[in-house]
Amino acid sequence: MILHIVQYSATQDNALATCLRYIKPQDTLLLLGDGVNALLLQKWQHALADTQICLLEQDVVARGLQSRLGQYKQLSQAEFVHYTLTHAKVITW
Amino acid sequence: MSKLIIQVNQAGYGQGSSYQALQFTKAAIDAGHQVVKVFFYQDGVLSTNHLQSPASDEFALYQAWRELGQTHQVPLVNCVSAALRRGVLSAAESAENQLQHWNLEPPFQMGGLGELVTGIEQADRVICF
Repeated sequence: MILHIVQYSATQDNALATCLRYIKPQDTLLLLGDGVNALLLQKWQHALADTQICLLEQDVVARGLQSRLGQYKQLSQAEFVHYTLTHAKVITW
Repeated sequence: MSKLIIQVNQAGYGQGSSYQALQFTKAAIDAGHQVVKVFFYQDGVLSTNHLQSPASDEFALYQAWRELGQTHQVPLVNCVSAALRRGVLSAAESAENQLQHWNLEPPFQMGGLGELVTGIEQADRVICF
């Protein structure tokens, strides 16, 4: 069980696309920073439909996207720390 | 209590990674975990330049890292070769290179990739930003 972290915009960096080639169903994908923007696009909503996704709450709030991304699980910083320890490995793409 | 290493790979300005790493490190310490060290690598070393002088009404990332390191006794370690090629030098490297100026001051320190590797041996997780 791996925690995959993507912190860059999917339209400016291929981190998310590369991550999706390797992610397993039991893994979790955490989107940080501009990474959260991917979920505004249908293309990525579909590509991530079968992936366990969570977002860093402060980055969603900073971008004013709470209502657009409200259906996704959002983590506080403390929960982020907890997730890094409950997953066996952490990979930042 | 777990042992964590935080690795910062991107510049403090232009990318949010160094700030993200700072927030994560604070949250980890608040949760009672031990941050064994923060390792600045690649453009991450730019967060350690002592001469950074942001406007007084602006969040000062350098100061925040420095205070975190001092308050919680967290070693703040630069990859020396990444730092040297980006113009971040301590007094010792400045003298070795016959330069008259330097811009790395304690609590920031120079280290090598070897330090990261030995740190990883002791740590439960490495989190990169």
